[in-house]
Amino acid sequence: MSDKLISTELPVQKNPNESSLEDGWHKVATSDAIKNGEALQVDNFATQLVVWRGEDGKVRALDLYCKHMGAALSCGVVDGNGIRCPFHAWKWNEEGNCDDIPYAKKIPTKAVTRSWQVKEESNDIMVMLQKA
Amino acid sequence: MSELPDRFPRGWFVLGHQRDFETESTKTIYAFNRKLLLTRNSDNSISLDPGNGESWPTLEINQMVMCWHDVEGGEPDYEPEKIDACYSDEWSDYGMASFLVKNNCRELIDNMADKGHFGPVHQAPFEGFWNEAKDHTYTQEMTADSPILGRDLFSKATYEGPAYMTTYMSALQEGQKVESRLLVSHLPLTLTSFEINFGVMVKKIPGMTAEEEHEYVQGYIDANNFAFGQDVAIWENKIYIADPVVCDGDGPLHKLRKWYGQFLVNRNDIPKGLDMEKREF
Repeated sequence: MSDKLISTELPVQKNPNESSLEDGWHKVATSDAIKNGEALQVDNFATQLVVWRGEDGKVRALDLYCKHMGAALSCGVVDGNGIRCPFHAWKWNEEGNCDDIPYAKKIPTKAVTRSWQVKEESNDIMVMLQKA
Repeated sequence: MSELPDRFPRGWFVLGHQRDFETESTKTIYAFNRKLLLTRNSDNSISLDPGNGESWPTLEINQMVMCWHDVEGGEPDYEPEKIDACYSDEWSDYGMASFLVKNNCRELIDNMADKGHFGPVHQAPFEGFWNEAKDHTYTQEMTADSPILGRDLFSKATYEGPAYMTTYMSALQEGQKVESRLLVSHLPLTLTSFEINFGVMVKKIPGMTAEEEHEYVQGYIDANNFAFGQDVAIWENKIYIADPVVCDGDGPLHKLRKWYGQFLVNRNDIPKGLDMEKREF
């Protein structure tokens, strides 16, 4: 018998190009699951996403894990129409650009994450998959 | 991608408080993906059986029982410094608490240079922040104002090796200066889980009864437990970014990770230039 302990697996941002999902729109949640100012972690897509509804009522989606230090953006807060990371409060907009770092003078040009096209249709939130 | 280290780091690891190892009894501790058997012998010495016919050095210092872990099987190349407060009647003993984190233990180390997380995660925006790396030690000094840990907070935290960190803290509470010491040690169970064992001791306030002192220490343990809980909530749902894009307000994260890397390679492969003079960030 092995004395080795059981290891838990750690999350990684999955490569969407390796997903078995086909290109096209995929339902990730129902519209009423995300109210204005709320964010949701999505695990049933080609990669993990944060999907949130801005104060203007529009739904947006980015890769789940922050490109800065890796925290799940779904644990952060919706700020205006952007999402603010819970770890260092970097704020991301729907294009995937970081547009505010409370403690920095300058936002690094490389502070960019992957954004996803979203639409709402008869109470469904859909995200577009287009593999590279 | 976020590949895990191929080993557990080389260094001294805390196995527990001395008082938890009673004479002529054996304790089993799970760590380093194996079972460690610790025995307190009748002559008060400690023996450690890490299995596989190996023999690992042990050490008792600053109220802790420690073991030396080294995949190369070498002798210890440093020892933690003795802390007088650990042997002084003017200070309480360490009150201890522990909890498990499901991630690689390197996550904990990032905090040393991670100036930017104190505000959002701990509601404790720092005022001053300094880092220094020297040989096997890495030091962070900080001044801050925290509703949780105290006003006019000064702290100096030093890692000696990869897993043993001690902190001196002073703060004002209701106008009174309070001094405390933290121990933040951890023990990896697997490459994706580790146990944090932390300790808190306070400088006794003259006139305090034993009961009041106990309550006071417990208050500090609770406050630190709360602060770690804030970190753990982040750590347990994050990925590891091996080469993060940092901004001008971030601390010397890359430097810190290089320093930590020395414990994850054979001695012959340790790169030069890991030291960093004390600098404000």
